[in-house]
Amino acid sequence: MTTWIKDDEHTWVQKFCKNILKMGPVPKHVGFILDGNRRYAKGRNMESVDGHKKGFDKLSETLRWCLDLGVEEVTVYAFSIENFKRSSEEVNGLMMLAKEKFEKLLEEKDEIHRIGVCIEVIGDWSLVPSDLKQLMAKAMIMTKNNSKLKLRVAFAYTARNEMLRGVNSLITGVSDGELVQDDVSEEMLEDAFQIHPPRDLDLLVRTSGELRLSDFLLWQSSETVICFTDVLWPDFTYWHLLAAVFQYQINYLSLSKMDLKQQDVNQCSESERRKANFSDRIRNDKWATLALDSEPQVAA
Amino acid sequence: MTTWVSADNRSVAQKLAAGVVGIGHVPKHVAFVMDGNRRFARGQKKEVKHGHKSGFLKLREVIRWCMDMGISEITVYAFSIYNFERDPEELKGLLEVIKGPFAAVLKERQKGINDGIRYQIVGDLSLIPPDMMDVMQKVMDISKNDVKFNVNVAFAYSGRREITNGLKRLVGEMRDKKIGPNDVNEFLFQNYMQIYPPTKLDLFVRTGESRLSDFLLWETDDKAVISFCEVLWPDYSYWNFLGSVFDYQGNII
Repeated sequence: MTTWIKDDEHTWVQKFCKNILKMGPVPKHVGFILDGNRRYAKGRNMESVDGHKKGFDKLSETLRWCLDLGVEEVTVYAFSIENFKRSSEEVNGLMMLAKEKFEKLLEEKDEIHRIGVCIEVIGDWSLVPSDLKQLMAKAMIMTKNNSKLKLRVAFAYTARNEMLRGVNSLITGVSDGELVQDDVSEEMLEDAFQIHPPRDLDLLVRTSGELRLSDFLLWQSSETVICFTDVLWPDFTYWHLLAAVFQYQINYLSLSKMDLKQQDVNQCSESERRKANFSDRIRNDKWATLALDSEPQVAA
Repeated sequence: MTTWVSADNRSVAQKLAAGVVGIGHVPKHVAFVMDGNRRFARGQKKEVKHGHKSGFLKLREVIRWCMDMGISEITVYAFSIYNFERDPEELKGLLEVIKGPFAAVLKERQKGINDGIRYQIVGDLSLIPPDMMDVMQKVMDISKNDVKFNVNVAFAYSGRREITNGLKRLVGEMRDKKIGPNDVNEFLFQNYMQIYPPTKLDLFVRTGESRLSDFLLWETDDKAVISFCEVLWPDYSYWNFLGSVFDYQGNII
């Protein structure tokens, strides 16, 4: 057992229902907007940070459920850039909780490798405290070759921030002469995002009854089945997850299977070479930056 | 009553309910994904074109309901770029159903009948058949100063393509407008989206299914309330409409 993934504790009824659902299509990439921790805490006269701790425990259970269902990627909205506006007490509490969980993950290295979890943290890292950033970078480097379950944590994230950084990356590429205007395409823009390789969301679950996306994975949600549920995140049960998967299965049949990516205007080999070089360069930059971030920061 | 705006055919009970709902906050800009026309036609054992015609009749009603509710702008998903892949017979019928009302607006304006609507087409205009584009452009030009209500028709549209084409334009203008990578933020970038002036989306209504289908991805951002309604578009009733507005009211932040 690890902190991040609970042990398998399915009842036989749950196993039975799971096996029935597994006969149909199972979403490969599921997103969760983990909303409702604070309301849960308030309802029980707890501190907000305790609500978030319960929320993390629920995440750990949910990851086990997803792993057993055959889900390959899970992306969770842990902390939005908007959340920095909350009280400093709550923000600090959340940062400390994140630090504690990432430290545990690094300690439980062997179990993490045995289960096969690959961690990716997406978001605006310039907004993250450097000690937490160091832990996140280490976790990403440590788990990068695992392939059973990819867990993507959106931290200091908004979709528009992600899209704009992709936009800026391409603009820099054109401005530096690596790319020309005609190289700019949907494919190249996707390539410049943090979520790489590009992976659309199949199913998005949002708890606590709010009916909005809150700037989460907007680009990747274009064909996603969206399931809003009233339950607060720490109260999310296995049945809620199965209901969401069932909704996915109902909508799956009418899913557009067309893939009309914008045809590149300039498909000559020179353009392909420029784009491949650009793509390699941003990939190398990413891992080089992570390596730097994983080292203790020297005070200026 | 005009081509695009139906008469007020609400019952007394509906008007009363509208009065109650109207006391709360009303969304200013609503998007509609009008899904279910084909299934509607199949259910009635009629050809698909009938479904799309019924869909347009429903849109006229919805425009009326929105105007009466105090909503000032709607963006409707008429035709996705993926729809070009449909069966040629259906495609032809669909394009006729869409072109007809635009041509009718021009005739009305010539007769001095003005519905007060400003029409905008958002989408990859390079993919629109030239005869349709000609009519649509004339409608956009003739209505550009109208202020009563805005109707943005998404045609040959894809949310991802809107973002990518916006980026391409920005890249093209970089040198002339001296825009560097650090200058690009949300406020600058939203001017390269097609809906002009850029207006925040308050409510996103979709019939038939629970997905966004590549519609208004940039505009949906963090605050737009999403309301899925399981009915087929031609069956979207006034009560469904009030339900969508009620969803918005229950989720305002």
